[in-house]
Amino acid sequence: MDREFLRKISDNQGIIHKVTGIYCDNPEDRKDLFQEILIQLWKSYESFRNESKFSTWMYRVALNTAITAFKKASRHPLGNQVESVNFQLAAEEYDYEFEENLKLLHKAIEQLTGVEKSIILLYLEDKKYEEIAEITGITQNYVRVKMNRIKKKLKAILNVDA
Amino acid sequence: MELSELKTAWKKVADRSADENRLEEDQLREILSNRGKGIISRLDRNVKIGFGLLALFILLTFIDKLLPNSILNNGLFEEVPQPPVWLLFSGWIVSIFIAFTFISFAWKYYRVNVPHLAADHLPTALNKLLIVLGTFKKQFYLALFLFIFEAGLSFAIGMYHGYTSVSETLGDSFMLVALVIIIMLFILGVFVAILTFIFHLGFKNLYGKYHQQLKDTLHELNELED
Repeated sequence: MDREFLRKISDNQGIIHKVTGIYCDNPEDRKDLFQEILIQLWKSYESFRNESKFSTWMYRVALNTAITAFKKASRHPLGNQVESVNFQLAAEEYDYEFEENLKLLHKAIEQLTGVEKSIILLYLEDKKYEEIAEITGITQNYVRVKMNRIKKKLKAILNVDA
Repeated sequence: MELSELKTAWKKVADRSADENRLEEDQLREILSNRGKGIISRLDRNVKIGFGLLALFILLTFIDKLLPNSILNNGLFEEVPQPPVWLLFSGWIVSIFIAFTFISFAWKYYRVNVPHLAADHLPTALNKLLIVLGTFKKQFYLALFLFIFEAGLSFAIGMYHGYTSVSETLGDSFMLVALVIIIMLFILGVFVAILTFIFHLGFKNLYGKYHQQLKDTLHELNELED
């Protein structure tokens, strides 16, 4: 196996963890999706031509795989992650308001479609519209329009839940 | 709660979770050595399974068409029944069409190079893959219809031949002829139903369900661009 590939993946594996975190609701599903993304990255590695940043290419393959990987299965994102985060923040850092915000975030993202999740993930990761367009393969204008719609949708969900 | 607050919450959780779950290169290598469970991995695997099934089909076809009838007859009839030439010919045509259907699908599938396309532009990849799967679906059901029709015809001719061979002994009472026809039709119906069910189920599990799932994904992507 290509050592360079493994090294690059190892350096950027946070991307895969974030994608699996937003698309899957339990550790078993996250593990399966992680594996599927890794396999697709390996299979398509020869198509990576250094025309874009490695991380951009990785986001693209990871999100495209997540969107198609387990279409039919009902996967509610992040449900269990709430519990694991609860655990992580249990001691000195526990912040009730933060915890509530996190639950709201999970609830809101849960109601988005697979494609919308990919856009909101990139938004949450502070990607510019230009890079979101490059990763998702849609034009910048569409990204802007879609982002506005998602923001409205999220605000509506958050206001109702709040 | 504002969206900026969402971002803060996300950053705190996502980075921490990514660090917690960090894997070493050896663990990544091990994960890569296992079989994937996603649609694309399964489709890739199922195309390979399809080649195995095709090999089995070709073997069975050769056994069926080329094995001397005397072996299959096993002393049942005094005179070994010979199927009509046109039936043998149509049987070969149908078998070749079935083999061609799968080989042409596999060839187109590998030409699409799904993992590479998925890395480039998902809607394009899905469009191309759906065209390939859609064409295969139509050709498969056409091939299935022809196969069952040909098999049913062979069965009916065989039954008719069997009946005429023993009709002199049994006599030609109307009730008996009617009973034989009803039994023949019943067996033929069961035979056709079982074959259709098995092939339909096989196709659905290997390719059909993924076709629908990918179609839904493309629909979602297209909605995004509307």
